[in-house]
Amino acid sequence: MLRFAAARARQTAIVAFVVTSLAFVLVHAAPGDPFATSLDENSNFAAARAEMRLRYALDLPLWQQYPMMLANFARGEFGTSFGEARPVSAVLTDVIPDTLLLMVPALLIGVLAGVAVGTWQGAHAGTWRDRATGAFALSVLSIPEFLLALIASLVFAVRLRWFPATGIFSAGAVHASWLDTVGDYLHHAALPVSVLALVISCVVARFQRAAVVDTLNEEFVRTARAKGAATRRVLVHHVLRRTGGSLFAVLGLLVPTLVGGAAMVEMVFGWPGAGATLVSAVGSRDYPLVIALVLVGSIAVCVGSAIADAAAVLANPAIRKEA
Amino acid sequence: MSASRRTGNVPAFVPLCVPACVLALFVLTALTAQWIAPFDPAMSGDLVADRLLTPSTTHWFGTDASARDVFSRMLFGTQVSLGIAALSVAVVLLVGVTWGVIAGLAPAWLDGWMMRFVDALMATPRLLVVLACVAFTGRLSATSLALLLGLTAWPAMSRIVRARVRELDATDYVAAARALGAPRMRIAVRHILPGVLPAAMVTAILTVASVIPLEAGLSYFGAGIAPPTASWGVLLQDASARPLDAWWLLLFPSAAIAATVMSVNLLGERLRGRDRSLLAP
Repeated sequence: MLRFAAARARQTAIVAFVVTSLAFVLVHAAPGDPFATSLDENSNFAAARAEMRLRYALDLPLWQQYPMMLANFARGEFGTSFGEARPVSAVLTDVIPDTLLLMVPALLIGVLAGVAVGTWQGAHAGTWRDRATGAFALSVLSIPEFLLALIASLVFAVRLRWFPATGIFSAGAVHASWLDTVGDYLHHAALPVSVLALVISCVVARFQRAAVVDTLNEEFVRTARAKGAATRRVLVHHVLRRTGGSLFAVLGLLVPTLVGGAAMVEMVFGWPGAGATLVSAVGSRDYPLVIALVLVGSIAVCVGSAIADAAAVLANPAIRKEA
Repeated sequence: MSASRRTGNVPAFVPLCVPACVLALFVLTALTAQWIAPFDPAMSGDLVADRLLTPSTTHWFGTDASARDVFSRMLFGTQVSLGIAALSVAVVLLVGVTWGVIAGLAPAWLDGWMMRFVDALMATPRLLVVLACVAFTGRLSATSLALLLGLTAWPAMSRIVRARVRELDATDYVAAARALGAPRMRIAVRHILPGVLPAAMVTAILTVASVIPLEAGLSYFGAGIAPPTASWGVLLQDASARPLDAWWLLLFPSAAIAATVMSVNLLGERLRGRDRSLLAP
């Protein structure tokens, strides 16, 4: 386990290096002073610009700039967001919890539903019900997340008015109790969480079905059946235990894609999370915010996949030697 | 195990020719857009009389808020979207296959470092990297967006290729070629590369299924290609301004994206399902 952790830490370090190098190259590839062109030629901004030049160490010789930038990033000093006129770290602490409020429920619901449906499909492989749900999953996965979110928003929020179209809480609402707060959140979260959970469950169901079909051919399943175990017991006690490991491994590989999909869903539903903030920061060329969000996002993804891989090893120690 | 059980969730009852024909139709549309478009896609009609017309016999897919013919815009959009997909897949094939073959045949230490680099790239969220580049360079031309998408998509390809190279390297005929004194370069190109190509082609097909939605999403959120070039994503962005009173603006680009991605998925998964050796490692 220790060697495994070391390998993952090394990988996260490589990712951080790749992303910070990219940030470094981009800052220098932008024509002229990247922090002059994006600000109005107004003396009020001169101080802000000087601060940015300090953060990115642009006044130092080139060979000193990169380590200086890394040191600033490591201390969480990303400078001041142009668009929001406050420290980037303050923006980060605002948006990251909101993203978690979207991702965590979607991931839980999506994985549970996907495992249930995939196992059921695997147990009924080849029947028309398996094919019908398979065709449905393929259709869902053929529509980009942002389009699914857009359709859901148009139908259920704009047309039917069952759910609010944007935001995480009602604007200007004063909640009488924490129960009202939770209710308001659930009302707003229902649509975006459902869309994201639907996509996740379709992906998970495909892998789970394939894993169950493979496992059902194994000899230990035949032994369990021969002992007279009921189908349900064979599935839950014998098959699911085997497929759990590969499921976590697949989730680890999927995390980068999920983050991208979540960003698009956030954007459509005006969810004030990191993804929507990143897309609008790109639009307004808010360089410090973009760099900070990409860096934090990439490292979060690495940690997420590392946790998933660790869970895979714990669930099935036989795959440890591959790590 | 029957074939249908093995092909994952792909409904085995869809004949292979259906997705192939759909894709062929889209490719044909893209290639002949210049000649079959009834109107100039960038030319506005009468801004008062021709604005936001519902689909009719003159304007099959209606007109948009600038009185442009949506059918003609779709034809040229198909050209742009499929062109971006084709170019980025070409980049993925070139970089991914080269990297994979070199890593597969390289000494263990070099292979280790090359694959560690690939793992790190695969762990980096593509959308974030592409967005960062767009933030600094401004809106991109279709060509540079295609290159960017290709350069962020090759690691998966190189992983599959490397695994296949490792398998082929252990076969008797490669050992025979080596015993005959064939140089390493010749073994790689003449004996190993042909065996790698089927797996690479299937992966390339499946790459299209990830590139098209990504391009559409980026363009939809205004971070993709610069106007006036119209891809399917740009058409969707136009539609988002008035989604309820002009359903035709939203329906046709969405249907085109869904039909293409679904056909590509069906085709790729069916081809992959035919041969166990093509399954991802």
